[in-house]
Amino acid sequence: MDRDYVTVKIDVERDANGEAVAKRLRGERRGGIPWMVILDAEGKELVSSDAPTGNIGCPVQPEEVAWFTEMIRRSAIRLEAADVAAIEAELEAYAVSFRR
Amino acid sequence: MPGLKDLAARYGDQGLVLIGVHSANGGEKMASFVKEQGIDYPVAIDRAGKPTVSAFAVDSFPDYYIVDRAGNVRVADLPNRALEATVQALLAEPVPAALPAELAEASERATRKDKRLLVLLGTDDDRAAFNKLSRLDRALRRELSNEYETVPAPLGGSLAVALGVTATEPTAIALDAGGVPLGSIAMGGLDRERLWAFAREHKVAPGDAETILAGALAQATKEKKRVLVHLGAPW
Repeated sequence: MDRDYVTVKIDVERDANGEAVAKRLRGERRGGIPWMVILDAEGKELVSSDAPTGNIGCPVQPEEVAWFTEMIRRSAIRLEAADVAAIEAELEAYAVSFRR
Repeated sequence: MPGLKDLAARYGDQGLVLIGVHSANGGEKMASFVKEQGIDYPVAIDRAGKPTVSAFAVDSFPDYYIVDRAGNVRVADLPNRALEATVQALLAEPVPAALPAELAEASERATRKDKRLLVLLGTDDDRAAFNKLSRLDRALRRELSNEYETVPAPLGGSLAVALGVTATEPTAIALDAGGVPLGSIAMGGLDRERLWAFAREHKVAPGDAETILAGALAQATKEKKRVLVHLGAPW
């Protein structure tokens, strides 16, 4: 992930201006948090965690893992198909322990 | 390389640990080079795709990254001329005490969530009174929950001894996520205002989302990357 992404966490409650930044990035979209968005270096949204079925939140279920992988696939610069597959496999291995 | 060997020899007994990382290019020659030069500190080879070079934003060779005793990267992209002075400065810092076992789980959570620890030394009744006080004020309760991982412990027990607490009265102690005490307050007679002040004084300084995002975008521009923003909350 570090090869293509600068990852930041914004706490909408604890960080100053957290709510304002959240509003600017997310607009009127609903669906709870966590919510993720991938931006280009100019700040333009490329893809978000809003899958066709809604916000995936923390990706745990198979369809959520699949959408997160799709987010990477749509926005990657240097990562190749094998790298994306490796990220998906690692996330799947982590997520499976949280499934009911 | 002779300079690094010399540095390792002179500061090794003070705790300096050197780890070399060879670029992926020419990595097949690394082992023989290390042997020829008599390098006795570990040297790794970056993987194809240069993930280490990318993660550390290495822009020249050699480049130095200094990690403190707590595992935090303290200096990046350090020039040769500043290397020894930086090593000396960090070695001069106090050695962190070992984390008491009773704090291990809470410390892991606090580190992950960027929170502090709050050790409540006393009896169950003392802690019940403390919790009752915090419940009187919804915002205070949320502040404590958002900012602190609470650890109950008896007065005079092993955790109190490990923290060097000699108080015989119920006491709340704020610590950083690594277990370093920041301050304490007697729980007996505590009121809402003083608890608010204590909680605010010792919590992690809040970040500024605008600054965080601007910094990430600047880094992404420099390194030709994307920015993955995770919007979350303490709960």
